[in-house]
Parts: sequence; structure tokens; C-alpha cells
Amino acid sequence: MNILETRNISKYFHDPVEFQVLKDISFAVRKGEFLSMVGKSGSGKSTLLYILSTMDTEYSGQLKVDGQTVTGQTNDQLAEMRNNKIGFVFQFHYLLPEFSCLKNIMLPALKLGKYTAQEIESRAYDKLKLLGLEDQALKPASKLSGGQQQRVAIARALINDPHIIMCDEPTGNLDSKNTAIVFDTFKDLTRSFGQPIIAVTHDEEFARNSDRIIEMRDGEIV
Amino acid sequence: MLTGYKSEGWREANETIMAAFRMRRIIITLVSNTLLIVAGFGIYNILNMTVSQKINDIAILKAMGFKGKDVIRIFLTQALSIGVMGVIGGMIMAAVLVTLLKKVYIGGDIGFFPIDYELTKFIQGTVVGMIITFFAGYLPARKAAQVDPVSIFRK
Ligand SMILES: Nc1ncnc2c1ncn2[C@@H]1O[C@H](COP(=O)(O)OP(=O)(O)OP(=O)(O)O)[C@@H](O)[C@H]1O
Ligand SMILES: [Mg+2]
Repeated sequence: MNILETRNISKYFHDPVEFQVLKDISFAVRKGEFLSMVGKSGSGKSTLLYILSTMDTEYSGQLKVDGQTVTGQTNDQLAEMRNNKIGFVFQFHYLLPEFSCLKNIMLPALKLGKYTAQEIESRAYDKLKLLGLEDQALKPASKLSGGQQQRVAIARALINDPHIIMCDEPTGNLDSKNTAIVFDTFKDLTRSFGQPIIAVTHDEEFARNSDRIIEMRDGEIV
Repeated sequence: MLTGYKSEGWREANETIMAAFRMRRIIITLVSNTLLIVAGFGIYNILNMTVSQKINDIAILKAMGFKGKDVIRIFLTQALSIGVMGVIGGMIMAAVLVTLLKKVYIGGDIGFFPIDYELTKFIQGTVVGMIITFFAGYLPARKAAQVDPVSIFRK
């Protein structure tokens, strides 16, 4: 079963010059698949990921998540879909700096409102533990190292049990030990819960150990 | 003129005083409205600044699935809490001033300063203050709600 599917996705930037970043991107991600996306800097990986995450709506072609056509939905519908079904880790760890790590992780779940605040807190705590950060739970996010912040962002992406997880260089700032932790966590998620993962990475070993590699070059999948 | 007398009502007889009253009312209205508008601009500016400072955080919230109206709610709540604090502060100050002014002796026919606690004025102040707060907060809140996360993350 395909959790995510794109058909002929193209995108242009008009400023400063007309430039096609993405050219007819068509691919699918199956349930439980661990997919790596590689490619040179500037090849359009982040741009594609923004579209897949439903945040960028300025493209042509079609995007389906969970068999549902996402293209053309209203902003509110898209927001709901992101909250519900998509876990996203940005290229640069974007946490709310004044909030504690725990609170950062809890936010998407508080928005979703499926569990009580207490349940959410204990779930958030579990995610932190999973990524080896339980001792940092109450620190404000701004007081963490880059690698720690990145792991908090990963924990946050997992909190709502998303149907698919997308990461833009999730291990870009991590040493080999923590990269291994993140990799194993991802692998485990895909295996135990069938949550597929799309991870943009420059780490060859990381890519090699995943289920499938997609390579981008000049806005095309090769 | 048969008798050499003419009659006129007390209003006409005291036309100058009536004019002074009218003038006073106009000035009071202008001054108090100006103050309200200035206060409104204050709230507007504070929130506008907050929106610019927190634009990254807003983008994150939207990326995580907060809707435009959630963002509006966050900022309106902040605006209204500033407004409520302002109204409460203003009420306390007004009550203190009235208490003091009541005791000021002016002399003449008037005697003590003619002022008292008027409930309608307090209610008016609260209502107008909250309405202005709402609009002063709504404009920046709407700006925040329209933030496009992707354009923020690309920077
Ligand atoms: N807002 C924009 N306006 C115009 N061009 C842009 C804009 N954003 C990105 N680009 C261009 O689009 C291309 C793809 O950028 P993108 O960020 O997707 O690359 P990437 O593959 O993620 O690179 P990296 O590995 O360095 O993160 C680049 O050539 C970039 O210069
Ligand atoms: Mg990138």
C-alpha cells in the first residue's frame, strides 16, 4: 500500500530568474519503507520535501497521502493533515527556544487533542527517552546543543504517531553514536509500526543501510 | 415692543454659558477619544513587534499543523489580556481620581468639584476600551496567521 504518492510534480521559482527546481517528480513510498533521498546541494531535495509535507502548495502535479489527494485542499485541511499524519524534521532544527524540550514535543499533540495533557506529557517523556534525552526534558530548547536539539525535533515529529515521517538531514549535526541511535530508531519505527520514513541525507552509510535510495540531480530523480 | 419688556427662556438668557458647556463636552470627547486611539496604537505596535520577533515560532506552529485561526486566537488572547489589564488599571485610577476630586473645593455656586462615580461612564470606558483592543490586536494577529512557513524556513 502506498502511503505517499506523487505524480508529475514540477515547480518553478520566478525570482530572481525563471528556474525549474523540480522536473516531473513521480514516485511512491510504501508502508513501512525506509527511504533515503540523496543528491548534491541545490538539487532540490528540501524543496521537494516542503511540497511532500504539504507546506508548499505552489507546484503543478499531484500529491497523495494515505490514498487521499492532497493537491488543492484548503490551508486548514492541510494543517490538519500535517498535525495528524505527517511528522516533519527540518533541515535546521526548529524548536520554540523558550519552551522546554518536553513542551516542544508536547505541542503538536496538545493541538491534536487526542489525549489528555497528562497522557501527552508521559508520551513525550517516552519519546525523549527513546532518543536518549530524558535528562534534558525540562531545559529550555535554546540551551541544548545542536545535536540535542535535532533529536528533540525528531522526538516531536514522532509524538502524534504520524503515518509518514519526513526528515531533512536528520543526522546532519550528529556524531556517529547518535546517528546510529537515530538510524536504529527510524528502522525500528518502520519495522514495528510500519511508519514509512523519507530521509534526506548526505551520509552515505545512512543511505546505504536504508531500504531504498532515491537520487536527485538538478530537480530530477535519477 | 409694547411694554419694553421681552421674555426669553433660561437657555437663551444663558446662551454664553450653554456654549461653554457644549465646548467643554466637545473637548472632553476629543481628548478621551484621542487617548483611547493612542492606547490602541500602543497595543497594535506591541503586537506587531511580537509578530515580527516571533515569526519563526509562528512558522513552526503552522508547520506542525496549527491553523490560521489558532494563531489568531493566540495573538488575540494576548491583546485582550493587555486590554483587560489596561481597563482594570484605568478603572482603579479613575476611582482614585474621582475620590480625590470630589473633595476639591472650587467655591462659588458650585462648591465642591461636581463629579461622582457614574456606573455608565465606567461601563462605556470598558466597552470602548475592549473594542479598540480587539481591533488593535486583530490586525497583527491576522498578519501572523498569514505567515507562510516555507518562506521563513528558507531564509
Ligand atoms: N526561494 C527561492 N527562490 C529562488 N530559488 C530558490 C529558492 N529556494 C531555493 N532555491 C533554489 O532551488 C534549488 C534547490 O534548493 P534546495 O534547498 O531544495 O536544495 P537542497 O537539495 O535541499 O540542497 P542542500 O543539500 O544544500 O540542502 C537551489 O538551486 C536553490 O538555490
Ligand atoms: Mg536542503
